[in-house]
Amino acid sequence: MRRAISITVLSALAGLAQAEGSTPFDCNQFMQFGGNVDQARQTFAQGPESMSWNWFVCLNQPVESNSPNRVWETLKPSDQVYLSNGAAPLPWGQSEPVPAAVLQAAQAQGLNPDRTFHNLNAVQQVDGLILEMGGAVPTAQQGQPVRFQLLMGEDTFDYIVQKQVYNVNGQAALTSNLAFPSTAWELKAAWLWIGNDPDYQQQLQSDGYYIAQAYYQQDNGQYQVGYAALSGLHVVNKLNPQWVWTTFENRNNGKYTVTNAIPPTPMSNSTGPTPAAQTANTTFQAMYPALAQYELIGTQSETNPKLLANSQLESAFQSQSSCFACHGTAAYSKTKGYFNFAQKQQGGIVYPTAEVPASEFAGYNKLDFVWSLKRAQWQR
Amino acid sequence: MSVLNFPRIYLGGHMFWSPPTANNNDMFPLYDASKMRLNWRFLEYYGINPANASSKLMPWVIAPQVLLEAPTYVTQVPGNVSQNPSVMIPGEWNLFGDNACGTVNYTPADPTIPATASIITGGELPGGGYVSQDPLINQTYNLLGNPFGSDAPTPARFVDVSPWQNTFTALYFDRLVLGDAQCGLTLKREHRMLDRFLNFNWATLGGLIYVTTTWQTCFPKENLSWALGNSQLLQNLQQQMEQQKAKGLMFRFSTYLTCYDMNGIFNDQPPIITHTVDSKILANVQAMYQKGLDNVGSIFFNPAYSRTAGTLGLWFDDEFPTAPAGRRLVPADPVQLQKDGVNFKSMTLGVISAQVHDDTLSLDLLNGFPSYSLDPKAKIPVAAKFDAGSYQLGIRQGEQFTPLAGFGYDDYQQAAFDKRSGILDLPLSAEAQKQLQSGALELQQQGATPVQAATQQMWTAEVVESASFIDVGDSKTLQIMVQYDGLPAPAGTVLTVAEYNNAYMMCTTDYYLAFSNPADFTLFLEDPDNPANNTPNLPQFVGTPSLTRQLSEGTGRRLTAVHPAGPTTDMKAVSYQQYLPTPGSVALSPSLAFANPVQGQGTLKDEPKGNVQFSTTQITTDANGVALLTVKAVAPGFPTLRFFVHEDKQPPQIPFSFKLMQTYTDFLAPLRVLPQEPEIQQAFVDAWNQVYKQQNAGQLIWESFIYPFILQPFFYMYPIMNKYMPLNSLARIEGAVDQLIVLISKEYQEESTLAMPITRDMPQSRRAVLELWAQALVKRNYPPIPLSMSDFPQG
Repeated sequence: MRRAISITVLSALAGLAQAEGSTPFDCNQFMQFGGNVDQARQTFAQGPESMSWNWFVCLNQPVESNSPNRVWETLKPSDQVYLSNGAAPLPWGQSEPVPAAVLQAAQAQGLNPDRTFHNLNAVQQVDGLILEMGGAVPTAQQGQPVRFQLLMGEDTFDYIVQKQVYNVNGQAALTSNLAFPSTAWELKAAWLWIGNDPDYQQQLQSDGYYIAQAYYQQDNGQYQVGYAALSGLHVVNKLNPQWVWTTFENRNNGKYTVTNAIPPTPMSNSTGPTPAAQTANTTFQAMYPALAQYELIGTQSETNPKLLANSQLESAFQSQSSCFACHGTAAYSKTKGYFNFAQKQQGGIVYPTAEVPASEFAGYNKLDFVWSLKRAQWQR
Repeated sequence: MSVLNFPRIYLGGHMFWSPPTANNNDMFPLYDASKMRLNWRFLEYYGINPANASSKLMPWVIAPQVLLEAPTYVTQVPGNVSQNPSVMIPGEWNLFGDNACGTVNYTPADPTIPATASIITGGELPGGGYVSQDPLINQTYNLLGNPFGSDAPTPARFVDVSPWQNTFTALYFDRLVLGDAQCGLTLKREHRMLDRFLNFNWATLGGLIYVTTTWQTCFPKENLSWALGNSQLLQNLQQQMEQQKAKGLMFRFSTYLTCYDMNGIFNDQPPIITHTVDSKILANVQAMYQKGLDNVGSIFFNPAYSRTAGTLGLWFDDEFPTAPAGRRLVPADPVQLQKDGVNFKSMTLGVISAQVHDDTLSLDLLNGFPSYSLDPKAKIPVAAKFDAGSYQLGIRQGEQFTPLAGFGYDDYQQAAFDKRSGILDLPLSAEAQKQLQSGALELQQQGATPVQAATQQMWTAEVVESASFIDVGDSKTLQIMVQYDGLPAPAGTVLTVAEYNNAYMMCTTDYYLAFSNPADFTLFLEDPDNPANNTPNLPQFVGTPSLTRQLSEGTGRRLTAVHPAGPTTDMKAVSYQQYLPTPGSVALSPSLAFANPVQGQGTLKDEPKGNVQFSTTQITTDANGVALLTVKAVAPGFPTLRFFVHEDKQPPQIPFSFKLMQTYTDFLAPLRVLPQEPEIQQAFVDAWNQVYKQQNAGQLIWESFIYPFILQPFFYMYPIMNKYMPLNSLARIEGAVDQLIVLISKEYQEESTLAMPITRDMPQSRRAVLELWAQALVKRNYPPIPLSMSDFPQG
């Protein structure tokens, strides 16, 4: 019921979000920046955090009136772009079918077949570690990993198809760096797995989590099907040549996720919300009750702020997490493979928090900050 | 000069030790560490083999096992069966250990449990004079590791050089940190540490809790980052380091009073009792281990804890970086120990260093007098020193002993020990200073009949690169710093070097000379009715002194007592060649070849009076008292080099065997030789070339090669990896391949704390395969192209 109210509230706001201290933000064609990239850059420069919130609000609108899906849920998930056999993906707007076993299980559980089923196919963060659920989660979920998915916007997808870099064959054939259009978007979502546990689901809804339908395939090939709660969301686009990096997470994540210490302690975010994000959060959370438990951690443009992390997506390496610097190493070499951003320093592993010198990329083609291209497979 | 010089900074508190214990099992030869494989021949006895290991091995590892139900070759090993545990869990007391160690600062939620602090406790002025007030005092200190993708500190790590010989433990760390950014000092590692003077004799006072060891490392001045704040202690140290033209700083500490199963007291880990034979309690341990294996959220540690005391002082030229230099006293005759005024046991003292500076004679008693736990029921052991009487330190000239300085129990009892971290400063007149140079040091216990408690070890030799890892086929040159009477040995001093090994994959046992012919000798004497009476046999060459046989109660970490062995009537002699074919044996053939070998042979006194062919070498010191030894690794194993100084220019008698109990005063260098398996590299190339065109080539090469031949033993033996990188999961390793590539690199294998635990053990050939797999295949998403041997990094 609560979710229904939230969607209703958002529906009433469809098409309009708020630019702080100015005219209402127009969600129409917001992923194309309303057709005026320069204007969008100006607006962004005036208030990056407000702009980030407006994008977040627009992404969380229903796709259309009475639709159970939000705008961002209709973006193309990476598993539908980088196919396991390296083949060309289906065009934008078309999806690979949800596995029959998933639909069968969904039907048995009474899930809505018209609603998106998210394939939460990843559990590792870029440092190779998982984020464990713990604290107030049910016993069955203790120690289990938070799950992730990666989605991209239409212009991102089209560029990948156009350049034929949806498989490694295409990337190996590159003779120059990639350059995505300004209207390229990518999202990365973090999810607390609920499965079929109405009490737990209710608890998470009470804590303001967005609940979606989801599945994932286990090591034994069988599927888990049920609900999942959105705990974090990266929203990035190429409004600036070095991209714009924003990230949101639920304020209650510390209740449900833990550090990898032994014994674990509640997860927290050490990089934000930044002071500017806090101001924006106060404003926008008051305006959008359905999103009020989500907070903007920060908006990074090049190295400002130096560090930015989502506790759900960069959990253990927050102190060395720079979206710009890390994604700036996205590169592929025909002979060396993907660039290794785990830097061999101080006898250990250090992640870049400033731009890595160009000299280190000799022999590589840069992938324009888009690390999702790593998921491409060979077409044999 | 060393830490015995002024000024000093004193530190003390507690240390934790969290080794993974499944691979370090004292009782069962579960892991063949020479080959870095599970000991399948042993496991087959329990119905476990490579085909069923995934379902049977770990359940066996965490289940209580009856020792007497083990194969005979296990229970035969002298010391393995005794009054100590008849039932034990092969995974032992810390299944999920991660090799971490460091100091402890912990305040329990339970107010009845005292807080634990490891802090700077005091210091000494440049001219002497205790400092008890300084901004640095009461600040914490710690040994830390290398960064792991975060600014959060990581722990230092330690590892027994040999899993079946816990005499030598290497401590890897990145830096020692005192205080904080406002007032403190960060000392970047130059030399990793190896425990020294680990005195198993003291275990016979009643267990491992009595065993004490010394650690030392030194830091060149370039490796120091000072934040002086308002600390006079730090300012003095920095100024004196410059004024006295010291090379840098020395950190020496001891660890003692080690205790186990202290969860909830020193940490917030779940309480557990593992040191028991109670079936209900062991069932609980098994259940807790199972939970941790099933769910990474239930993984827990159960570290051991020690008391520690240490000193930071000056490091000068010619001083051993990793062991105390200068004049050294070693124990001679046992002295009577008293506890609460009552005689306890007779025992030899530990190793004591002595140094005269200005008008002070400083003795390093860090490891000199044994401690005990004041109240065995106390939640945190409180240390007390045995009263070992009063002493005179003097000079021995022939039959003449000249006392020069004296001290009594008050000077070395626990409060004095804690105040100055075991250093005792005694005033010394100018005359006494002169006399001190006129003979050998001697420590006499006072009494109606004085006891010669310690005498000076005139020659000392310490290996800078002890505990090195070498690959078969590679050569390594070791630096041996030699001193005579506390000063660099004269140029041209000759040392003979010999290689020794241990004969069993279990327990911590005595040493035998490495030999190259199929010689035989009685390895141990077996009591057919009671293997607890089995005793080692330590034969010697004709013309060398014999050793007494001993019977131990417990072994390794469970050693509690040693007695002279009884008569050998009715005992059955078991020879080396008889035992060698068993899955519990380790060959005594050489692992090393000397650069300039001297071939030797000798005849053993005992039956069957075998002829033994062996190899030694001679090395000579340079003008700085440093000798170089080059060895080439020829076979995998855990060789221990022993150095014999040619005193009075006479070549030494090379013993065929020597006791574990004497190792703490000998000059030994443990090494680890990792196997080379060049065939595995070609096999990997061939395996990939068979599958590379297939759609699931990545899965196929994982299942057919990478997991079974490389990662599987590490998956079983280091279950802590399940938390961070489950070694049986292709997906999880693919998702962490960037990190894997860094962490398995050769240079990190040598020194990084992050190489623990998976790659320190890894043979270069397996590491090369793993690197090629990671870089050429995983990082390129398994390209449909064949590999060739030239794809391996050359050189």
